[in-house]
Amino acid sequence: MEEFLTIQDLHVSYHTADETVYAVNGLNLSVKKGETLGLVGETGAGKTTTALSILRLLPFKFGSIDKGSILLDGMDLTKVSEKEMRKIRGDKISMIFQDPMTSLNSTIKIGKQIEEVLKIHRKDLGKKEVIERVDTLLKLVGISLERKEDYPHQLSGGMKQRVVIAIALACEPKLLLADEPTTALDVTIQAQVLNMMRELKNKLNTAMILITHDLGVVAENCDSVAIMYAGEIVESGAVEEIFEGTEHHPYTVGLFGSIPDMSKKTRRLSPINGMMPNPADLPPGCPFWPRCPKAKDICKQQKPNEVRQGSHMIKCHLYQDAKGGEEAGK
Amino acid sequence: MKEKASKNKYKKRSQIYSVWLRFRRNKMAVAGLILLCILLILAVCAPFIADYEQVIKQDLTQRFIKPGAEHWFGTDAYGRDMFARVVWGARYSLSIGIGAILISLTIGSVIGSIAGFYGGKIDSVIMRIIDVIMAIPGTLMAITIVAALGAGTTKLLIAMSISQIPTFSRVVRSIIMGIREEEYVEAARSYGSRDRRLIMKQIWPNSLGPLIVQASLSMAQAVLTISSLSFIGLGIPAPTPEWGTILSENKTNMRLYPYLCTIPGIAILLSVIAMNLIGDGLRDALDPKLKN
Amino acid sequence: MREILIEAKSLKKYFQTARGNLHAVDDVDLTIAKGSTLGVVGESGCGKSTLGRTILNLIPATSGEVLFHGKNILDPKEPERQQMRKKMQMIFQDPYASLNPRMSVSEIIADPILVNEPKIPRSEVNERVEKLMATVGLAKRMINAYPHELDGGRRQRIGVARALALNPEFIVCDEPVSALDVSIQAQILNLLMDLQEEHGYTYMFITHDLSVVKHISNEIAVMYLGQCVERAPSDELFEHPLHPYTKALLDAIPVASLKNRNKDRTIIEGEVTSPIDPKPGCRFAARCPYASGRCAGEAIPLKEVAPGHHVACVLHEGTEKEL
Repeated sequence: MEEFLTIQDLHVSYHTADETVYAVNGLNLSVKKGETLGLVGETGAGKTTTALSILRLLPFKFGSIDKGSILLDGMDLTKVSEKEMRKIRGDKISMIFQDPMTSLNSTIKIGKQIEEVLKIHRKDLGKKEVIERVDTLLKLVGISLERKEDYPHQLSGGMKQRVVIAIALACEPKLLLADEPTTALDVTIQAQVLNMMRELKNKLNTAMILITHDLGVVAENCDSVAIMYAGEIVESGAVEEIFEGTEHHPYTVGLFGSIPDMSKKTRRLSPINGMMPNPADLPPGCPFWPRCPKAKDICKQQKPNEVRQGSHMIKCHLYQDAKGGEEAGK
Repeated sequence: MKEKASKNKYKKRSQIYSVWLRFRRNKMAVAGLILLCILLILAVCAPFIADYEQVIKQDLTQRFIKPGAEHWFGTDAYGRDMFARVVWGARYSLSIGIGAILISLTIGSVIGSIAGFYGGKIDSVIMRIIDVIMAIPGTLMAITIVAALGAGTTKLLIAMSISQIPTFSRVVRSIIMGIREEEYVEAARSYGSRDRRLIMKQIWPNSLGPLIVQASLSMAQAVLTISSLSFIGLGIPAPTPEWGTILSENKTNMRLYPYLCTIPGIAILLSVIAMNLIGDGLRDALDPKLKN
Repeated sequence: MREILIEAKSLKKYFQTARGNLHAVDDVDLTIAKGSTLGVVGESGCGKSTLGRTILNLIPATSGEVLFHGKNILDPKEPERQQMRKKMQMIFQDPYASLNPRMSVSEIIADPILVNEPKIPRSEVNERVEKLMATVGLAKRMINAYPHELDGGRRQRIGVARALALNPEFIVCDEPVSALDVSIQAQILNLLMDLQEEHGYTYMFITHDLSVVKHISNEIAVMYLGQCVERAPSDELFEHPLHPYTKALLDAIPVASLKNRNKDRTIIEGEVTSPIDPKPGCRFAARCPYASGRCAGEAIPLKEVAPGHHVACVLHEGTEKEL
């Protein structure tokens, strides 16, 4: 399968009056056609910033892409004009935000809101066709057609998120960015929505980046995983490599140790000590070393390189010596 | 020794200082503050700048002297020095404005706090009364009270205060109702804080920010109203130099000697702008959640 | 069986709304043994937070009793009510909203002491504050910081320290980790468990996340629309869930392992129905795959079907005889 989206060495920063926040620092990422990539990390890891960079929706004036390229089907999104970008958003790429309450317009009926997207991007469609398409979309996300005339506040949280998904899928995007799409929902509703998304994705063969902090959601929905920490991908690979492989970045190990394991009886969890570094004041070397139980001297001085073995990548000094030479020898 | 030194390091940075740090960054607000300070200093120092004698004494030989070295702002139809009158006018306009706000703020806060904190029937009764009062426009209200009491400095102060009380009661009530539902208030209640302590320790300190902002904006409004009332002859009577009064006295000569009205007009304008700028600056600076 | 510290008897809390009575807590019975943890689990709107607040008498109950050391603290005539109440504290969900932004860390932790023991000299209060900060793992240098200067994990530690300030026996933890990142969540959960081991606190742990509650609880109560539908010891509940809702809830949790990836899950359809004037009978029936005519009509009581395992479901009415 070919790479559909490739991000190379992306650097994004936010500038405020007295500091520069380095949100994304040299991020490499690729998504294949029809694949779901789980982008995992904690608050402030730069997950959302990455998604907004792909859409070029970083906050005006404050945020800027400093370096790197975002190739979508061979086109560098960091270089296209704003006018072209507007055509791409919602058409080729669309995004589902965390909070369905804020991403819907509360004064417009939901049917009309879906129509709106189609009117912008599918000018060739006639009035009748647009309405037909709206009906198909609603059926697709499991909302009965009578609710077309409802306003967002008349729907429950899960229903609203379904409408948001319908809008995102309206133009059959090639890439879907889902930023914590189910975090605001109850577990039973989350299961419904995730199930639906999974089915739709298979049906439409859309590539998706699923941004989440929940490893459980990743395990059940993704083909590949990228673990993000302080603006970098510290480990990535196929879902089997991350969940069942033996070699991991210490942060990945910490993340797994932090989630209560339902199948085990241990009472104690093994959390990661300390907290995320301040992105305005990142430590030198590997950003994880202050919290890392296996930190060595070199970690404090030098950024580790990406060590690859097939599709599995780990960015850690632990694996540098052992395989770094081997890699170089190949 | 070392213990002591390290203790100092944890020293509390006063909240007022951090508010100032944030305020300082807003250039327009600082400009407003400087402007208001100049006006206030002039008002306070008025007796040292010009004798009150000079302000009211008529000298018909000195009529309509254009602004110049001797009379910075010129003289009016009665030969009085306009600079002295405007400076003394600041004393009246600003002091009544600030005084009226302080009085109405205090009374309004008490009424609003009771209504907002206890809610229910007390709130309904208080708010309905306030609604009735609010139905009368503030300026009209002040006019009515002045008309009933008669003109004069104290009476104007009373009229201004009464007309502002409903606004403050409402503002305080809504602020308090918002804070009352905050989780930290519930937390304090959960460990047994009584109403009085809840209001004093939890609610008041948090309502102060928006209240100060409202006060500085209302103050600008009050200065305008005072001048308007004086202008139509319902505020401070003629010889006393209040900005509105000065405007009113000179309106007949405005065509020939425009400076007579421009100067007090600018004084009013500057003080109102200054207060509004400060209010806007404070709004941002007083939010504790904004980082330095 | 250990000594029972707290007991709620047919506790009810109805809120009056324009459309009728909202049954937030409807006839809930529970007991918590001293030094143990009761996990209360349910989705948003099931009344779990209201239950916690009603037990602490932060919200007046519509009816029912809450016995603490055998004394009804909801009874205004109970002479020891004030004293008892001091021994019951709460940790709040949102570490951002539950701390007064105008008070420093030391002021926040000292406030409960100042409110309840105003005669204690200032130096002793300071000493106690420092000790509490050490207990919850807050560095001394933060003593004069303001909450907004700290991150979520540290803020929640302040919340814990504040709850511990009066040496309570019983603490209601209302979703204390759901606003935190996973790695920080584990830190706080461990802290709460350490404190319990050391000081013998009794917890009522309210959460929407079953996976969180498993580790910390001895017993778990599952709530649906104001009612407790199943109550069992933690391991028993996870191994033999009986109520269809509990099963659905367990099934819906995404597990961080690939074993269940292609497993067919029973996903319950529909959404929570209205808690306003609900009809008698099982409230879950509308979404329940096993619902039958027997589910409607009359209230279904909790029944003990195995030692310590209570469930309110018609499917399990007969099982006790078989056992």
